[in-house]
Amino acid sequence: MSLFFQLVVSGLTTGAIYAALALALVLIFRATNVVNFGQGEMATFSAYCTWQLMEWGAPLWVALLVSLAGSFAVGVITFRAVIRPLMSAPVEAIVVVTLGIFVLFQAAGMWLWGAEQRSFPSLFPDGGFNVGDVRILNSTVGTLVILVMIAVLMGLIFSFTRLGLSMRAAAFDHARSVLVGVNVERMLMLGWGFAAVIGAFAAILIAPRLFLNPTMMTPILFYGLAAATLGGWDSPLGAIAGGLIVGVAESLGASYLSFIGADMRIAVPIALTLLILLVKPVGLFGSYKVTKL
Amino acid sequence: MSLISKLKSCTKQLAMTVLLTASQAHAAEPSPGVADDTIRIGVTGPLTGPVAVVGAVAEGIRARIEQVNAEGGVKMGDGKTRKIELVIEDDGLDPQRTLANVRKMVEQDEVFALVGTAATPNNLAIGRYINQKKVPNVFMYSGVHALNAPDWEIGFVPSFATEADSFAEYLKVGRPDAKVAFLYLNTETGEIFMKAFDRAIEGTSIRVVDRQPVTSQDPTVETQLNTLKASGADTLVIIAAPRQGGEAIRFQSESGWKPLTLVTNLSSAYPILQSVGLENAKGIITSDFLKPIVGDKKTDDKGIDLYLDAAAASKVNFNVANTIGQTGYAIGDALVQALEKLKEPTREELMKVVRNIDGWQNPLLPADIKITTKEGSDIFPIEALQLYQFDGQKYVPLGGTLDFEAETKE
Repeated sequence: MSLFFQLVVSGLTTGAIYAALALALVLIFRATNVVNFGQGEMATFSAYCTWQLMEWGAPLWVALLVSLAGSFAVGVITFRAVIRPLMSAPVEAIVVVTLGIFVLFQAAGMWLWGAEQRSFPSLFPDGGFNVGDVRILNSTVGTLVILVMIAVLMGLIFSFTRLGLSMRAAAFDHARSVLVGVNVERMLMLGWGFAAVIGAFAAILIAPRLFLNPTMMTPILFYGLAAATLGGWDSPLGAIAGGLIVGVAESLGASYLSFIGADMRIAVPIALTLLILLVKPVGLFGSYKVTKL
Repeated sequence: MSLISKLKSCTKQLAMTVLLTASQAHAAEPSPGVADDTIRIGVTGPLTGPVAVVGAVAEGIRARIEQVNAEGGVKMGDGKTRKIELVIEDDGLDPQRTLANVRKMVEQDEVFALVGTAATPNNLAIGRYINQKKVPNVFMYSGVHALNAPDWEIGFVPSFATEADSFAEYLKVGRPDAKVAFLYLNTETGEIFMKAFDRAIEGTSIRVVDRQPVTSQDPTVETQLNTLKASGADTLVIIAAPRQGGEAIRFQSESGWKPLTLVTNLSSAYPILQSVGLENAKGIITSDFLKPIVGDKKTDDKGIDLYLDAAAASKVNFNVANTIGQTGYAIGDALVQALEKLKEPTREELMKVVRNIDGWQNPLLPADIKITTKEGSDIFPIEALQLYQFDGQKYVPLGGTLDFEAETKE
């Protein structure tokens, strides 16, 4: 039985990684109505910048703050440079552009820092503790606590502040938002900036587990998308729950369903996501859009 | 034209063709890609993508070749000195792209041969094509040697079977009652390794208690490792790509499980241990055919210094302690030695040379590990390994060289 609980915990450890990326994906979707496939690679790039600053001698917290600020700028610049010119283009065009962002940031990272994996310092103390026979890592607990805090904060901002309302409005309907006096461009720009910051933070949280390397987020993207879909694209807390469910489903499924080999691990969470979407198409925590006639 | 004269002209043509072919066989027209002062060689490997770290093979080859070119080129067996032109293409480790690259390099760039093609599935993907086009694919970077173009390919690094033998040898003496758990890459790599290991422990009290598969794309391997921990094993064998392998090495320091950990050289390179934290890797055992190199400080070893010079001059994009890059350099050197021995610059001759290697030395291989092949009986260039244990700072040799020359079975 203790193996079962241990597998649940390792599912949560992995799930926290998926949740981190899912959170960034959900934020950008809420703020701009676009799924940014390049989010993970932008985040990796930010993590590298943090690492580089530390290599140059900056303490962790300074490096962290500087690179988070830098990420905001990179998010804004990305928006101005490649998204804004396409604002009136169909959403498919923008999605393709985000794939371009994916390639660009990954290539830049590889060119600047090479493909080798590096260690990245953890914000939490090494090691873990035992509950009965089950080993829990400090970093898992720490990551989850911080992610929930970010999600709650995001939820509060979106639901209860004027800024959040304007951002949601701008994302929802560009034309009509302008009519009611929302500066749509500025809101979308802020959305990209904030999403880049959350993404960077997520990458910094999970880089110690994955080892820093230019492609560390690539295999996560699939799981992150599944987690966001499962949780509901407009719910930050849903993204975290989605990530954890995906992680635990993968862990238990691959361990107890013996016909699932290494290549099929991802099938378990995907099947689960499909099932849940059949019952609740907007995801576990997503809300239905109501159109008043 | 009458039927008779038609027949006559046909016979004439036929005779001409026969004559021409005969004269070609004598003078040995150089193969494509060879000029009087250059010879063109193709390399394909993952310069980008999730496993881009393996692109260091191509970089290492480049370093050795540029070094040789800077000294004027390679003096080949036909008396001419040629510079080596490298054509390097990125395949992202996708076998279909490898095939596309090889087609392009053979048909457009007209390379003489391919060298250091990375990874087993990729070499399998190009087997049929190189067989049909009769293009040598030499010193492949694949731990599986018997692939699908036996007449036109030869490997380089020790077979995974040889590595498995070395681990089994160690356990027979060091832990004769070992309960072994495998974390294995679910490709031919893992299969061949485990098959050879199982064969080597037959008749001993060593038992394999659990095996968990892993792919090189898995974000984490927490689940597999926890399952292995619960199996009651006291020995962990890690056959995995650097990211998953690194995580598995770290697991022993953070999970409270302290098995004897044996790591294949897919993920035992010094930079990987650095990413894990050197302290966390203390005690792991690996086997290697390369001299241990931990940094860019000059040593009193001529071969290592030659390599460090080349790496600096070519500004390689990998850490000099990276064994994948070192392997590339060693492959580059083997290519140069092969070209030096070509009496005539033909593809057939190249294959003849690399199939009959009589104990070549290599700058990055210890003196008692030599490169040897024999046409018809031995397709494994390197079959000796040295075991090492990591002491938290560096790899310390364990015992002497284990030589399995001409014993490898895949």
